[in-house]
Amino acid sequence: MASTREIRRRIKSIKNTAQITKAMQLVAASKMRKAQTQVLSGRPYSELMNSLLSSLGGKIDRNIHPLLRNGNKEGQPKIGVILIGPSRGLAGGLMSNLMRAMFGFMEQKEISPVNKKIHSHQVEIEAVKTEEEAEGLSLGVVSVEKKARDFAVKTGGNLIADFQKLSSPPSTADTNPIARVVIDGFLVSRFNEVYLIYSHFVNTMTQKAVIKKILPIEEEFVIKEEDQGKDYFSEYLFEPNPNDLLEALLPHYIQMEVYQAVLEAVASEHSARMVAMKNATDNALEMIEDWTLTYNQVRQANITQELLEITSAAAALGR
Amino acid sequence: MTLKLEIVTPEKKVYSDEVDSVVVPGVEGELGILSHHIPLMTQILPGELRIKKGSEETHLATGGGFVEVTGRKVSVLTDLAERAEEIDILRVEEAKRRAEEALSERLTAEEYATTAATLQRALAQLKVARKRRH
Repeated sequence: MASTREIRRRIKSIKNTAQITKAMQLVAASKMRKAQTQVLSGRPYSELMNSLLSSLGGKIDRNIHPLLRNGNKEGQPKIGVILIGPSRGLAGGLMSNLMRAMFGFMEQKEISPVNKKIHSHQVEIEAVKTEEEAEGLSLGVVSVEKKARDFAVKTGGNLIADFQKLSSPPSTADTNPIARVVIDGFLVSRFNEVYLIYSHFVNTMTQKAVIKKILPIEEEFVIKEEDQGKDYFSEYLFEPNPNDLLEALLPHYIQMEVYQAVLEAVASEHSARMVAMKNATDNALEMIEDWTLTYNQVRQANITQELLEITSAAAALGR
Repeated sequence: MTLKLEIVTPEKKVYSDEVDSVVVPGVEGELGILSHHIPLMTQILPGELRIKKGSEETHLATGGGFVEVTGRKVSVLTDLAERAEEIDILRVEEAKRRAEEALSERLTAEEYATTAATLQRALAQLKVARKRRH
């Protein structure tokens, strides 16, 4: 059995750990509250935006605007992914859930991460890179925050842009450049499909990794099919005209999608960290309890032992 | 007949109520909407949004955004919507001054656009706030 001194040292070190995790828990909790209110109050806007687009759906020709057009379907699709991860570690299973989602996605799209790795090592010159794209192995990753970048680099993803240190709370000034990168990439056919991968905030305990297709804009155009028959659509009025309106609306829609996704990711990150740190603190306290019990037992055993030695010595002498 | 009006910004749902009529600052001039307006989708500019409900009239300063009208429902999506009485004139004037200052410096096209938008918003807020308070 360990000596009392060793156990004391151990308890002290666990106490220190508990203090740190407790502090992190409190910091995460206060950030979490802010982020949660922000994400929840942002939802009505993006929901209204979706319904706005869906009512446009029946009215317009897909070819009217490049962001609605389906890209070239020949060959393997050129896929762009915006991966939004946590900015720091110690957030429980958050990142591994995202990673699982990403791997699943790559499998589904038949992009092998190992192949990618070999390729990205071989490819050093820009010209070769475009050849790689021509081979159809292209997966472009736009990473948001540090952990997402680390992951993209490790899996050998073709990192196109990396955004870090978003302000807290994130603003559209942070997220609009992200949207810009994929919109531009889509318009020059660098991608013909763009997806968002992020953690959707369900509640403090639950965050779900989500894969959402944002370009070409299509999902919202399917939802309200039952509405398309109604005749008021035939007299839908656009001011000033459909082209100008879409030109303003569609990029704005993508920007807001990215913005909302970042809000979701931030709320998820702080929630996951808060829960992870709470668990860590609870575990540490439990361990302290266990070790204190052992410490007392050892201490008692030592005292008994000493008493025994003294009495037996006295008995031996007094004989 | 009343209209269902919803005004939403990325930060929050600002207004959601049954109203009699609403006037929005459209790209082609002010646009009054009553119930049974034909379905419409338009862009709005920073300016003043007036809501009439019974005898009561509410004024809001709005930023740029979009308006959709379908049957009985009006949805306003904008990056700013503040009630006249909520506007802090001093703060807005400060914002206006800073924006004007920034505009007189050399800026990239993008910076110019965002600053100009800020200035326009500040002007709209000031206009609404001043009008309400005489």
